[in-house]
Amino acid sequence: MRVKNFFVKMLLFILVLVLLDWALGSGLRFFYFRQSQGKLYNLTCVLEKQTAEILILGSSRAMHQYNPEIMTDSLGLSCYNAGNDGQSILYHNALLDVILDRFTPSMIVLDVNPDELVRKASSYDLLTALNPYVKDHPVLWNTLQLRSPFEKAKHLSKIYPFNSLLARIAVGNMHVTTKDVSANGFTPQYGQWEQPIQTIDYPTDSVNFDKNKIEAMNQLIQKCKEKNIILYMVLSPMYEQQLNHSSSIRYITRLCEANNISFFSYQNDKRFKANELFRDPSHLNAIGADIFTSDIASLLLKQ
Amino acid sequence: MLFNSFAFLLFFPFVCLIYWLLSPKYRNVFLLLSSYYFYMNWQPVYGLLILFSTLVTYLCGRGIQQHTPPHKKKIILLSSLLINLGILFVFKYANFISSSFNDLFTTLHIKMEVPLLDILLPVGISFYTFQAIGYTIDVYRGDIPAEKNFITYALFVSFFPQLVAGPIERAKNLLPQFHRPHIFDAVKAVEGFRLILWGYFMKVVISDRLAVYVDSVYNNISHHTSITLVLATVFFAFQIYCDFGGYSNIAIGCAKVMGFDLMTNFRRPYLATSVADFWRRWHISLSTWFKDYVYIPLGGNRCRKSRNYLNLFITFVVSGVWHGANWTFVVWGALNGFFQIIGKITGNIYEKLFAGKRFRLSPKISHGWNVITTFILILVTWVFFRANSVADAFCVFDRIMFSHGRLFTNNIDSLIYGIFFILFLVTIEILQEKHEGRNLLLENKRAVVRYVSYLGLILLIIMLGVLDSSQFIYFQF
Repeated sequence: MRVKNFFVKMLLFILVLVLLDWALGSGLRFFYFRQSQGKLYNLTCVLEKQTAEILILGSSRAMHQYNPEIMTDSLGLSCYNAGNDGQSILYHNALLDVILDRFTPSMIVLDVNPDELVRKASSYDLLTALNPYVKDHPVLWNTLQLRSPFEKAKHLSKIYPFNSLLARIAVGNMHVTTKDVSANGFTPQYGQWEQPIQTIDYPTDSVNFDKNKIEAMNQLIQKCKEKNIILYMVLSPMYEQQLNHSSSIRYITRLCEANNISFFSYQNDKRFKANELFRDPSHLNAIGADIFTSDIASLLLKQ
Repeated sequence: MLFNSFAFLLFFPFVCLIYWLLSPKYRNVFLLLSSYYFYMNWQPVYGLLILFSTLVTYLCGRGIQQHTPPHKKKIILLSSLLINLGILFVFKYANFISSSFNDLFTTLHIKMEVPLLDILLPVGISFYTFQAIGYTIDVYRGDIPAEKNFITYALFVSFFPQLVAGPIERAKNLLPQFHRPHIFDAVKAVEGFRLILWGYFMKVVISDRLAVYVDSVYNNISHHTSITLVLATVFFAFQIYCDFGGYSNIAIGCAKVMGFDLMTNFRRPYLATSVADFWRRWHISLSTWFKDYVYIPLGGNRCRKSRNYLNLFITFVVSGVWHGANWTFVVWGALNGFFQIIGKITGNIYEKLFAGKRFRLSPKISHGWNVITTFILILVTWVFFRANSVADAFCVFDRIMFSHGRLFTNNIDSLIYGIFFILFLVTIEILQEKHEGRNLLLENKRAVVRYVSYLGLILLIIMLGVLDSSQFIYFQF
């Protein structure tokens, strides 16, 4: 093969590849936003459709533990659960950026985790959930570029924003019932945890804190202040005997005190130490979630 | 810099372009600088470590060549081994030995603590150390002359495609290639790009996808049932193969695009018909290294059977220790040695029992049976390799035997993709085995099939690959 021939073939190949990437990427985009149910659809709802007065933010511990129907019944305000598996404050802060462009909720309940501010690679990896939206909401670049300096270059590919989503997009376009189908973002978990309760001794140093997460937490608080949104933070129940407070929770407690934010901690709460209420040590099951939501709603009502 | 990072996708074409545009006399210097840049992206200070190791082995090689008295040669060789293995010991094994002693003291209720070193394991230290040691031994044995040019030698130790996870090259194969002026060969470049593409497919589409399921199961083994643990172990077998095999393909492919030929490192290992055959197909550069520098010097198979078995066992235990500072790797190595010894013993008995008998199995059934039983034995060893501790490994076996229940389906995407791509890979490899190693997609005689395969694989990588630059498993070694 002659060298010139090689480079001509290579250029042609790249051209075809770009065309295919554009065609497939456009197809994936069309079907992504055509979904009518499922986890991805719920995220589209959070960012582009819902206008609930109460917004629940958090990880899977928010997603599976706060029942918006109970919140609405108790408080008389509409509610949407924007919790998402494994997500951190980086993601919650980015969501709020987009939501505030469209409307202002009156109340936000932020469910925090014992390791909320700790540096974790997965917190950055999971930000890819926001990739399909960055084209329409450029404000998301502030968060997505925390992943790597090459994010904008990666988005030159039209398929890239939909990486790993093919199966979910397909299911989201079919009218089949899966366990992540929900009208208000809440996806209860069923079954109960059978193992004995474990004792947890959290490391007390804060050397592993992620500066980006601390900054995102401060930004979120600041945005709520500016828009007069009532912000509550909650450490929801876990099936663990925790010997101390984690460094993240101690930091968040101080931050709440400094900013006059109510912080509700269910750490070692005796009402939530029965295995029948849990799906696993970190997640309440459907029964536990309803009991917990009623309890948190009554606390919010008192406030 | 990771092969599966976006930074590498910019780095490699840039290096290739400059490399081919440069005059041949500057190419080695440029490649050396690029290799150090590539390596120092992890921890700049460890560049000094590789430079030190290079200097020591270079000077020892020169010393061995210049000093004719055999005892002096031996002293220089031993000094080189001591320094290089000493560095490896400090960085890789010192903390393991200290913690093992601490565990022993705790068990014996002795109030004593061996302090641990606060150091990070330099990426790829076992690979480049072994490559450099291999060179020194080869010079000592007179198999190759000592390299005179320091730049060339430093490039041999740090050549970026194979620096951090092999193939562990032999000086006899690689050093002469740095002396030859290379002319751009389009056919070779295409071969290289094919390997790179297949390597990326193995790594980001198969291995990293399987890793999601394997990690969620193996990090919580006490919560999972028999079927889940069996599936996770099968997934791990393919995860580690596609991770390391994928890395090797990318490494060999990158070198090929620049005109260099590295040795084959994997040859469809899960189609092996015995554990010994598996080791002729798995991490070939390491197994041949151990054969040449450990097994044969111990006496190899030119000795009594019992001694031969012992040599085999020692070689594999050492190979286990090379893999990592953990008892799990020691057990893994020992099991591989043990299975091969059993294979040798039973192989002889089988031959004697069935010689001339009429009820031999048909060759196809016998072949299939051997492939499956070998795969099961290898799976058993992988449990030790993947488990976080020996106790965890036994817990896995215990739960496989006695804990029945539903399959864990939380990562349903990974589960479905994983099964599909394993079947795809196995089909391709069976066909490859039948067609003398030719990949029937990427090396098809029909251009249409080839080009559709190239495009299909690239689109699959972007669409379904795990593109978060996850680590390669073998980097930890």
